[in-house]
Amino acid sequence: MSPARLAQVEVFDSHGRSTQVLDVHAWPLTIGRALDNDLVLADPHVAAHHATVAPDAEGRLRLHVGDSRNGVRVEHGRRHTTLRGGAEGDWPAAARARIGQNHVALRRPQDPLPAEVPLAQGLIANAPPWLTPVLVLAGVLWLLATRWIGSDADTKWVDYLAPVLAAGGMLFAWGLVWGLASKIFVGRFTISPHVQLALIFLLAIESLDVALIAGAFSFDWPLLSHLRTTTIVLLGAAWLAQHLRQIQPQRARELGAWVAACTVVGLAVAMATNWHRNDRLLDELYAPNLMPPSWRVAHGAPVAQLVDDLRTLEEPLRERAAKAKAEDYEP
Amino acid sequence: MKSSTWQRVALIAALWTSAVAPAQTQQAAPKPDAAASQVSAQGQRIYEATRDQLLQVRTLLKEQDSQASVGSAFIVDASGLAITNYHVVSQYALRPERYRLAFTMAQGRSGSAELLAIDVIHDLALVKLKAGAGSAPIDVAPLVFRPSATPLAKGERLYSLGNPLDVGFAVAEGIYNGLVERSFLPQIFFGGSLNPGMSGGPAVDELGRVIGINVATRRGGEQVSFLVPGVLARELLERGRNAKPLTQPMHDEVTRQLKVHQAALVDAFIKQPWRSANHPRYRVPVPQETFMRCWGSTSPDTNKYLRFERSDCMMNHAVYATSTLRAGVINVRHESYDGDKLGALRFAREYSASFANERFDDGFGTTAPRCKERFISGDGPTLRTVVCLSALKRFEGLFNLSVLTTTVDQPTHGVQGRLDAVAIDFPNALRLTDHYLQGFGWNTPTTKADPR
Repeated sequence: MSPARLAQVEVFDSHGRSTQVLDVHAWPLTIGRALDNDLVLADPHVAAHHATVAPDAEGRLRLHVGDSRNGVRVEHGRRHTTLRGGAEGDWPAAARARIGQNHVALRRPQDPLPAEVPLAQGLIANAPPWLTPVLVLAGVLWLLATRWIGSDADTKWVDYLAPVLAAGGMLFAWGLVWGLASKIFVGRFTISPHVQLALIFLLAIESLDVALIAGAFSFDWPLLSHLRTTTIVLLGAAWLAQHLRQIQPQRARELGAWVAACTVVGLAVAMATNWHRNDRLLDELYAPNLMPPSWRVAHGAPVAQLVDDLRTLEEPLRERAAKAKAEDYEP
Repeated sequence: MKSSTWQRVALIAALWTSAVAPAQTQQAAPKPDAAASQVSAQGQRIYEATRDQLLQVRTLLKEQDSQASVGSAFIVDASGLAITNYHVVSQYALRPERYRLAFTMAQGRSGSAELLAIDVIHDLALVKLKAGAGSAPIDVAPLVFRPSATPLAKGERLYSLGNPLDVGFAVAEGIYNGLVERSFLPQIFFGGSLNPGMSGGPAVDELGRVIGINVATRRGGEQVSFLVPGVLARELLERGRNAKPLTQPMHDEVTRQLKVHQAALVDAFIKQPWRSANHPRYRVPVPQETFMRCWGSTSPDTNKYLRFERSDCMMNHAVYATSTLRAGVINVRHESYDGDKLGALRFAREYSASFANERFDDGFGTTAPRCKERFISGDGPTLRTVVCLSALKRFEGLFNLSVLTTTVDQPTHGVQGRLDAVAIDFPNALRLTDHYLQGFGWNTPTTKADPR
């Protein structure tokens, strides 16, 4: 009968790849470069007898650093503790010890076990098998519809093929790029989740764009049209975050926060630039899209009301001109 | 650069022969007939009689001798007062801290000049000549104006004098063709060649009396040039004769004059009833051609599915305020679309592309435009209307207006219209907006009305 496994040690290299897995059957566990250690790390930055691990009387794992120049860095979430040669400290559950260029994880039977992580993350985590064909069909139909609207009455059916084929090619290339990224970061080459994400977000962007245009016209809310670019940018950021979640699931929140921050900063800079140049936050001057008459819900107002609205522009325009004059523009 | 007497004679002869006989082919030089030699002698005589009163006016950078602009002028008072165009001296008028005025007379004397008065609307300026240090004051008998009581008849000869392209003083003969028709401001139609550099020079009759002042030429035309009527220069002389030299930027005065002008222009424009565009369904406002010209065009034959007709009504003459501002202009245009063969969705896309394809002020010389937009309706069809205004930065109280509007009641037909006005005050911007939009309606009482 094999002795009970008291713990399991896993060693990861600087790329996050597992290089060693060792069962611990007895304490203390010795770690070092010398061959008489339980865990041998062939790393020139590791001392001969670098560290020893054993539970104390209360059962807490303690790490004792041997005669080492580089010491050990214990990383537990955001808290990092550096133990110099000769020092001693706790090794909490789920913490990793950085020894040389290695990250050493140690878990015991009593440590809580994280939930199983699905292969696909986020939006498409539990995607049914029919999702991809449905999305592809929806994408093709949308593409054909927009091509039809943008063409003349005598456009031949072959003229519709080129954009569909081109879109398909670009979609595949997009999936390929992200699939390669998946291979690099998580060791799996997967195209399908990325193609699904691309289709979902492209369709969402397109349909929301149409909804904004139509809403602006139908209800006489030009602000909806002005917000099109902002909406596309926000959806694009969410799209990027979802892709990143697939290739770095353990850092999804952190990466998502970065994407969100960059998006907000980017939008703020764009708005500030627009304000400085054009005296408005958004770049669209007026809502230009016109829909078929039957789509209009809003009623017209008398001309006098528009003229009254215009009166509110006089003061801001005068102020702006006075400010420009004070800055001594050329005539 | 000054030219010798013989060179001047050769130039005058060359100008005259090219004006009178442009289609002659190369052959042995014909013997000049009596009439031709009489006319070239006339031009020579005119030049000799007026040479002493002719001068070139230059706008120089204050600290250097580099010229920023050059034009012509002529003496109108023995105390050394001269008339030129406002646009010749506008850089100095608006930025006296950066520029200075200098003159050179055809007879050779030179010195500096001071600005006494301007008439921006008619593009005139009155300057005082100051002789160079140590030189005797300018004391030259002025050119006289032809009395208004003896107007020229169409077809009579005129002689335009000036310094074309800084080449040298010259005379160009042409024909008096009366006042330009359909112009809001009075301008003489001169059937002769005016070149850059001649602006501000006099156009005189056969007795050397001033009829007008060279001001512009029509590019793309041949011998289609314009003069400011001499009576306006005389009025400016009377107003500004005793004025003190102007040494501060003249934006306020330019603004004042532009405001007076735009008030008269907008009043005159609004007083006129709209013409109809003869659209089968809509009454579309088209201005009278009292001081505008309207041009029509249609879509190319290759556009099988979306056909349109376009009408552009423009004022031909604008007031030169600065090199980037041509003020006192109202333009109106419209396009009528027929997309029966396209269907509603495709027509909506094309129609939107046209509605979107509009340019507005880009913020140079004006503030960025601010717009209000909404559906408007009254007795006529419902219109989608966008009104944009921008303020002129250096001319306080003047604005540029653009009214863009389109019908939205038919799925495959529509009319888009636009009115633009440059440099008008705010109340007039509102008046013009109201006047233009009220010009839209139904063509016939039996046309099905838009319920919303």
